[in-house]
Amino acid sequence: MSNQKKDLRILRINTSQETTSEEPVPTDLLLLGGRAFTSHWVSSHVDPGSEPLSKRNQLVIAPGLLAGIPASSVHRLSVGAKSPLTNGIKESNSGGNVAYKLARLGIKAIILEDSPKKNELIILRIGPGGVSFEPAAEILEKGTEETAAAIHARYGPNIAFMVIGPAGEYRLSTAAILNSDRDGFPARICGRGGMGAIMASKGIKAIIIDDSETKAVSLSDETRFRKSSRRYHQYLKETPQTSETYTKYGTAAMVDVTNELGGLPTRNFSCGHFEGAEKINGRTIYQRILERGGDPSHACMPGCLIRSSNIYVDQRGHPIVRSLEYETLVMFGPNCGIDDLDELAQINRLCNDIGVDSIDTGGAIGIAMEAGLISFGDIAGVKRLLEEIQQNTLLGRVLGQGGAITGKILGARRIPAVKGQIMAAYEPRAIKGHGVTFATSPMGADHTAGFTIREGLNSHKKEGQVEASARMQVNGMIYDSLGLCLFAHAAIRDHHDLLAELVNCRWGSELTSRDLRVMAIEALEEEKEFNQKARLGPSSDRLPEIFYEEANPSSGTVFDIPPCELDEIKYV
Amino acid sequence: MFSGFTEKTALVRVEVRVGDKENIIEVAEGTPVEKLIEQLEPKWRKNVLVIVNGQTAKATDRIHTSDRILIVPLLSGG
Repeated sequence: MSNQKKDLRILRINTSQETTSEEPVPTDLLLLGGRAFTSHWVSSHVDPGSEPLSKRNQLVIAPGLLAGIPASSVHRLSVGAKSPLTNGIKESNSGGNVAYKLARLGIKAIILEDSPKKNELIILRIGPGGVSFEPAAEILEKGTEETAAAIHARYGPNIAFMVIGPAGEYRLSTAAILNSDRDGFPARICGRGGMGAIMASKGIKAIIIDDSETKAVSLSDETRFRKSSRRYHQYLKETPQTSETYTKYGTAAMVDVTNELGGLPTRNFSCGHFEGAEKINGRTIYQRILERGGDPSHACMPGCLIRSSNIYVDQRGHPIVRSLEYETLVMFGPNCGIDDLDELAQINRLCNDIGVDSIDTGGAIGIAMEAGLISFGDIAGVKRLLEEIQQNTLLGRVLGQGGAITGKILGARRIPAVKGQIMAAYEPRAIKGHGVTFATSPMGADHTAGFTIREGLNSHKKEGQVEASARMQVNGMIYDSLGLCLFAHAAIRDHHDLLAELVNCRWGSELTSRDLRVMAIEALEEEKEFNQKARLGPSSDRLPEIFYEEANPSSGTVFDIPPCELDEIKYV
Repeated sequence: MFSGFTEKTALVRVEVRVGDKENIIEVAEGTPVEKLIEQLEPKWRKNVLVIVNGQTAKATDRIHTSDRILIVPLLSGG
């Protein structure tokens, strides 16, 4: 299989017939990658009125535009569809080695279409010999750890994979897809929006990617690429956030920032400052991992210099989870009133093994705590509720449909969700730019959709936040479409000319930084249009009313950006 | 009137959480944030967020002894 531009292809898999077809990539799609590709494909091929788990939906898997090139932090994978959680268009992305290997195979995208006739899950194997449909009996209803071990036993250590856990098999709206990391563990997660449930609805338990007979991806201009990649890597090495902060303290470095701003979601978003923050911040995790012989600086994808991932180990040095990161740490930590790192690592591992989005699930359990089902800080209670999901009990199915549904059923007053999706771990009354992103992003309340803290505005004040969110939503779309890790933004800043140059060296194009922005804006507008047709118009671009009415006691602020300003957000 | 004592400017404590070690630096009362940042290692000067009393500070803001001040890395996501 060739990965030359001329041989690039889209792999369409009809899950009803168990047939495949390979199509050349139309010229107008060649320079769409990652999220821009998945969202364009979903907009063009999925009826916005279709039911997310029906045969009319499609699951679109696409590496970013830079995936596979010999550079750091560029091999992210996008998965898109109409979401069972938000009922709108959705893209969820992760690191790992899947996109890297798909790029080497010359696969622009995998499209899973239709639905299987039988209610059976299978394994889809993609490799140099083509596509095969293989039995999955021995891994059905197994957790993702056991599934991964069985996959390696059958296919060897060098493949990449995408798997779902029991949550996916139960078609829960918070079901994730877990992708292999650089070492072959199911640790990089497309968590948001229920993509795992859609993979199950297509009858797929696991996708195996075998790139064993492939070559390195081809570059259009190797000399220019060497020069550009040297400049790119120099930025990463010279910037202390990408060469020190993320590398040592990982994403948990964010705990100090949000806690100080009063923006660390605590006890179901009732306030933004957690008394136990010091026990779970990046420095504490780093020291703990070092003392116990774990790895505080792990690369999730091949060739990454930032290495923000980690392997958190127990007192005997045995891995508990790879990796303990900000969003999970906060949604089950402060948001549930828990400050015990070892317990949070165990909870994280359980979420990953079941295959649920830890943001939505942490949010659902925080809501259940406020509603009185269990108490804040009840670690045993949290594990019990996760086991309910694992065992597919009625309560487990409620929780597994996400925080918004859980909140409705339990009669909760405070449901921190937008478009049916729980907010990521940023309190929107104290970090108002994120509030704007949560409200207006076509993705719902996502953590990667428009990160505004970097913009340097006073996050407690409303001035400039709509514009900052718009800029960062465009920025997020560029990164998601290139397959570039958002953490690199600390080093790249506004040097989008460099990103365009990397794309040009790979594909022989002549893009400018402006072209990247135009591509991103068009993709965002296409997502908005899909949502509008799916009945998620401007009236859904709102935070819950309680955030407008009740002040965050840590910041003393409400979310006071009027709906008319949210409606006027302009991507430029 | 000469008092026999040199007048001293009050010092403001600033907590710094960038780099390898957390530390405290002290600067004079009324120092603008942009001057405070100059106390940091050069590589950090364009890469930090200064939070004063829980709010992101501007470069021109002046800091006072009663302020709680924390300097953290300017991150791009979590």
